[in-house]
This record gives sequence, structure tokens and C-alpha cells, in this order.
Amino acid sequence: MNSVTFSNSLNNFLSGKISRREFIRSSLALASIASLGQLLGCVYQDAQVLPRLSPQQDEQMSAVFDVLFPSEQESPGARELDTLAYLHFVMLDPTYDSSDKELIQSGLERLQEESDKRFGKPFLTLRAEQRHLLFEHIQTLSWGKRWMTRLLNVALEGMLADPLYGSNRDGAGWRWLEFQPGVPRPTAIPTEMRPKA
Amino acid sequence: MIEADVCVVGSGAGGSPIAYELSRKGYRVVVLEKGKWYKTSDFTKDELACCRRDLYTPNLNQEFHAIEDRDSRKDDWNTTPSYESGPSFWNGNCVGGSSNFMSGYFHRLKPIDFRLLSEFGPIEGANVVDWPISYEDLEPYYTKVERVVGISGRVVPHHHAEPRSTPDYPLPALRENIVSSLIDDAGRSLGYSPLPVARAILSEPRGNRGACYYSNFCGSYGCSSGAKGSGRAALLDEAVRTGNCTILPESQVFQLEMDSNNQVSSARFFDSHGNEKRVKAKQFVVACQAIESVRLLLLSANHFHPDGIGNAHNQLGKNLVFSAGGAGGGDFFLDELPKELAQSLKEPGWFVNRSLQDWYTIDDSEFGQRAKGGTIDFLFEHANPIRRAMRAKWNGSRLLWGNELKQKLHKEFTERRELKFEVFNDWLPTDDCFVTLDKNLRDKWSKPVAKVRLGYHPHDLKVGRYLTKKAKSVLRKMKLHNIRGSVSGSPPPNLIAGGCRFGSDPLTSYLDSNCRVHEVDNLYVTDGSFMPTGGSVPYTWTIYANSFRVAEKLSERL
Repeated sequence: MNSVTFSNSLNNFLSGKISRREFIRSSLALASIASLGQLLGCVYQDAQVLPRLSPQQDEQMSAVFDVLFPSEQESPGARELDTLAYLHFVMLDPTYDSSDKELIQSGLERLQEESDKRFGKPFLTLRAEQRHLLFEHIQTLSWGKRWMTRLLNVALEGMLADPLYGSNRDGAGWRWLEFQPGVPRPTAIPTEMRPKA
Repeated sequence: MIEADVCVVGSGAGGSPIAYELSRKGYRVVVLEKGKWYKTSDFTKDELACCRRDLYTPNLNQEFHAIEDRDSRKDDWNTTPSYESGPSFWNGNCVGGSSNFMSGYFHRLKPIDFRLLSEFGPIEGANVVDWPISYEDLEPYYTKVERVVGISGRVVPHHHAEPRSTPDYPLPALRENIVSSLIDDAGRSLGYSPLPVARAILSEPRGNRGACYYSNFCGSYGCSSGAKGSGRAALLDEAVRTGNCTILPESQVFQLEMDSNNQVSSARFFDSHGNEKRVKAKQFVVACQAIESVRLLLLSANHFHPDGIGNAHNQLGKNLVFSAGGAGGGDFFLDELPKELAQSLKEPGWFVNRSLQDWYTIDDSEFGQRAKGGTIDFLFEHANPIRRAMRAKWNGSRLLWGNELKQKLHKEFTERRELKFEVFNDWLPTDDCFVTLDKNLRDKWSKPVAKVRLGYHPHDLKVGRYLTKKAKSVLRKMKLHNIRGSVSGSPPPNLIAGGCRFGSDPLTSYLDSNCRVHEVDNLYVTDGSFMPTGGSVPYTWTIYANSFRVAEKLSERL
């Protein structure tokens, strides 16, 4: 792998177009394990494993989801679907990729930093159009695109998974997309996906 | 210590016919399965569980494969553990194996598939051989599978149709979406012969199994009525009812032990608590799907078989094959169609069940020399809504969000219906596709993992492209939009065969014509690994049929 394809691959990874797994695979051709470790260490240097969101983070996340998947008159948004409830489930789900969990949380801090940089105040105090502009901006940043991709994954997965998992309240996601769920529907969360005691 | 007449390792399509036949004949059978024992009532249409979190296959961080891909720049091979490389090469680890999650598109091999070498001659760089048995040897067992497992369909005369000993399938064809007639019309107007596809799905109830209820969630999901002909619902449940068959789930076999008479004496396994146990038996059958069967036989090396059981001639793990070919599709834009037709096309549940086998042999100067071709199957995109939505969030490399994403999602789900096709052609066996043990990587049991080299022959792509062109011509005739198709050398990890090829010469094959290991008197292999060439259809029917055949040979020795 030459440096051009490597940097393409890195960009694809950082922008969320390919998974970490695929990125590592494509990079192994060039990078030694040690240098790859350093690289990933940089990417994740400020990540902390905090499976539960604080009430403050909840409030921020709600506002973020309002931008990414807004409520409209004709169609449900993250608020009606209760994407936040699904995010809570995901953060405790042992089968969910742990690096994605880290990224989801660390992204909130970076969002605050960007908000300070661009508007000089916290994200939650921005007006709707400022929030939109901020996301227009962060989607051009490699971490930002990756972060937004993970959050959209959560929103879409929750919206179309069984309401059992917390989002898609009363099947609102299915109804909106005229989707007929398969039967029998699940009646319990599989043990593998429940938090370990 | 558990004792039995026959010990079967692996409970999928290769193992379950053995358990079924021999337990019904009164022999004591023990089946060891590494995964859990889900019952029909345990299966729901939970996309998160089945397809997002992959709960029916092992956690790749704990159990994985070492994948060797060609690095064309260095003309060398790169090894990557599958937890990093994805895709997973596990296909369903539970009682009944991956047959629980198949779509059940059932095709027989055709007579020429048993004699590829004599029919088409050698291909440079490929290890093409004839089978040691003929289609006629296997035909009675194909028929038996139709009856015992339950296959629904409709026989129509056809240029490449294989001979049958019965006039038609024992169960009527499943209900079809209106799209099937559109494929028929388009295909016929092009001079092709669209064929109904048989399915290992009950169209009528049978015994303890219900009929198909057209749930629209078939492939990748366990069946909730028992209609799908999994080894579990169709065979193992029956075997257990005889009182002669014991199934031990969550039993990971890690070694076959041999005695001083060159016989396998016991299978050693870890139970669900990690405790080591043994099954002692007269005969042993290995059927863990090709890659894992090879791994177990290599892991079982002993003083007399230092390179793996029965591997004195270095045949074990060689000539692994997949199904070559590709996939593609096209879109109906529903708002362009008459309302009634759009509504019928949108209707979920009923099947497409159409294939083309007009080019099972390619006799076309544009292609080149007369050659083996393959099968084209048409199908609707799987229902999985999460997967569809995930894909919809991209516009090229641009991420969609907010109202723009919502608009696209709504259009995607309500105004588009995707008709897909899959191409199946021979994955030629070569020296670049095989299984060994990795020297460094170990799984959670501290056992070396299987290393799989994934080379392919360029001829596979040539045939795949030829067939893909034909498939696309049908979609064009149907006036679909966004017609696409791709062919690659990436193997479909759910269609694995070879690695323990059977044959008459111990120097060039691992199993004899009855699928017994040449060098060991009481050891058989009955998953898809026996196949020296793969044919140009999905394997499951052939694996079932061959396993019924071997069961008969085996019972003569008990």
C-alpha cells in the first residue's frame, strides 16, 4: 500500500466510510502494528469509557438528535421516536462495539469545543440555525463525520428495531415508512445484549 | 464418559441426516454441537439480534479465522484475523447449524457437474477433477431429501434439466409475487427459459412442522413455523423422538483421539462450563462446515498422524471452494407504475422463486471455448429495514442528515422496490485456496484458529461476468432503473465447500467415495467439504443428499 492509498483509507476510516476493522485491515499492508497502535491511540486519545450518560450529556444528546433527525409535522423525529432511550440501551449493550461507544461520548466534548470556537458559547445556548451551521461545519471534519455517522446509526437502528429496545415508540418508525414488521416480534431482549451484572 | 454407536460432530446439513437415519435404525447416536439449541418457538423476526449483533455466530473477538488475502503489489499473502478484516466466516452456530438461516433455494447438481474434467478438459491453474460418483448415484438421495426434508416446487421441462426419478416435487410451489410473471415475460421475450425455483420450505403443514406463513423474513432468520427445512426442524427433532439420539449443545469438540488400532476412539470436548468431556463411539462423523472440519482434523494430529488425521498425502484442507459469481439488481419506481401493479409489487411475503439456467453450459463463440456456466437466481431484497436505512444515509461519500435524510428514507421505503439477482458459478479449485492452522492466533479455548487462504481463478470472474450480463438483460427488458451488477473474487462466506475432497486415489483425495477418511477405518466427513468441485448452485441440497447416502453406507458397517 502506498502512502496515497493509505491516506485515502485513513480518510475513509476517519469519515466513517469504512469501519475501524476495515481500516486496520487495509493499513496492515503498510503500517507496522506498533505505528498503527500509535495512530489509533491518537484517534482515541481523549476517549473515556463511561457507559452511562450524565443528565447533562442527555440534554446535549437530545439537542444533537434534534438536528440530525428532526421532528416534522408529517413525520416523527428523534424526539417522538425516543432515540435517546435507544442510545441508553446501546451504551450498556455488551454486544455493541466499544470503540463506537467511546466515540459517541467523546464527540460531545468536541462538539462543545467547536461551538466555543465558532460561536463563543455552549452548544445548548445556540439558536436552531446556529446549531445547523455548526453541524454543517463538523461534518467537514474527520472526527465530526465519523461521530455523526455513529449517531445516525443509533438513530436509524433504534427507529426500525423493535420498540422493545427503547426507540421506535409504538412502532412510529415503521408506520412512517409504511413498513410491516415481521412476526413473531421479539418479546424479550436477548441475554447476550443485556448488561452484565 | 458418554458412549454411543455413532458420534456426530456438528449438527447442520451434513450431520443431521446421519443422526436421523441411524437413530431411526435403532443405533445410539450422540450429536455434539458447539452452539446453543434454539427451538422453533425461540425464533423471532428481530433484526437487531440476528443481523446487527450476529447473536447466532460466535463473538469474533473470541472465536475467529485468520484470513489470507492476496496482496497483488507484493505478490504475497496478507494474514488478518477476521475480527479485524470482517466478514465473519461463521454461518450459524446452533443446533441445525446454518441450515436454520438459509433461504432454502434448492437446486440439484447436474450430471455434468460430476465430470467437469472429462466434459470440459483441464483449465490451467485449476485442480479440476471428476467426482468418484455420478449423478445417478446421488439421484435417489436428492429425491429422498425432497420427501424427508420437504421441498416445494414445480418441475418444468428444460434444456439443462437434470433427470429425475419422480415426476414432480412432493409439495406444491409456494405463492409467488406478481414479479415472477414479469420475469417470465421478460425472459421469454428474450428467448430465455425462466424456471421456478424449488425451496426447502413447506407449502403445506407436515407432522409437527407448520406451513410457510410468508413472514417476509426468511434468509438470515430462524423459521418460526418450522416450514424451513433446517436440519434441526426437519431431521434432528425427529431423531430425538426415536429416543436413540442425544444432542449435546454448547459442546466444543477440540480433538478426536485415536487408539493403537488406528481407529478414532473418542471425541474430546468442552461443555458449556468449560469442563472437558469425552464421547466414545464406534464410528465418528465430522460435519462442522468445511473450514472447521479441516481445523478439527488438523488439531487432532497424533503420533501416527503427525500432520493431522489421515493427512499422510497432504490433501487435508486443500482445494477449498466457494460459490463464484456475483450479484446485482434494479429498481422499480413504484410511482411510475399503475397503482394496482405497484401495490402488488410492494406486497411483502410472497416469493420470487425464479432462476435462469440457460447458460449452465456456455456454448458461445463470444465467450470462447465451450465452458461450464452457471445459475442466475432472482429475488427481492431482504426485508431488513435497518440495513436499508443505514445504506440510505449515504449519497456517494456525502453523509445525509436532517430533513434531507428523512426525505430520502421515505422515498426509499415507499417508492422503490428492488429486484435483485445472484449469479452462481463454479469457484475453480486451485492451489491458492485452502485451510491450515495459524501458528500464532488462538481462540478463547487456546486452540490455534483456522487460517484460510482466499485465492481465486480468473476464469471464475469471466464466467461470472458473462452470466451477470445475461441477468442484467432481463432487468433491462423489465424496464427497471439503476440496473447494476458486480462480479468479484471475494468469496461468499456462506457458501463453502471442499477441503476434504473425496476420490478414489488416496494420493489426490482425502476421503474415499463413501466419504470415509482413506487412512482411518471409522471416520467420515459429511459436510460440503467432500465436494471436489462445487457445481453452480447453492450446496445445501447436495450436502443433505450426500449425507443420506453416507448414512446408508455407514449403517452397513455397524
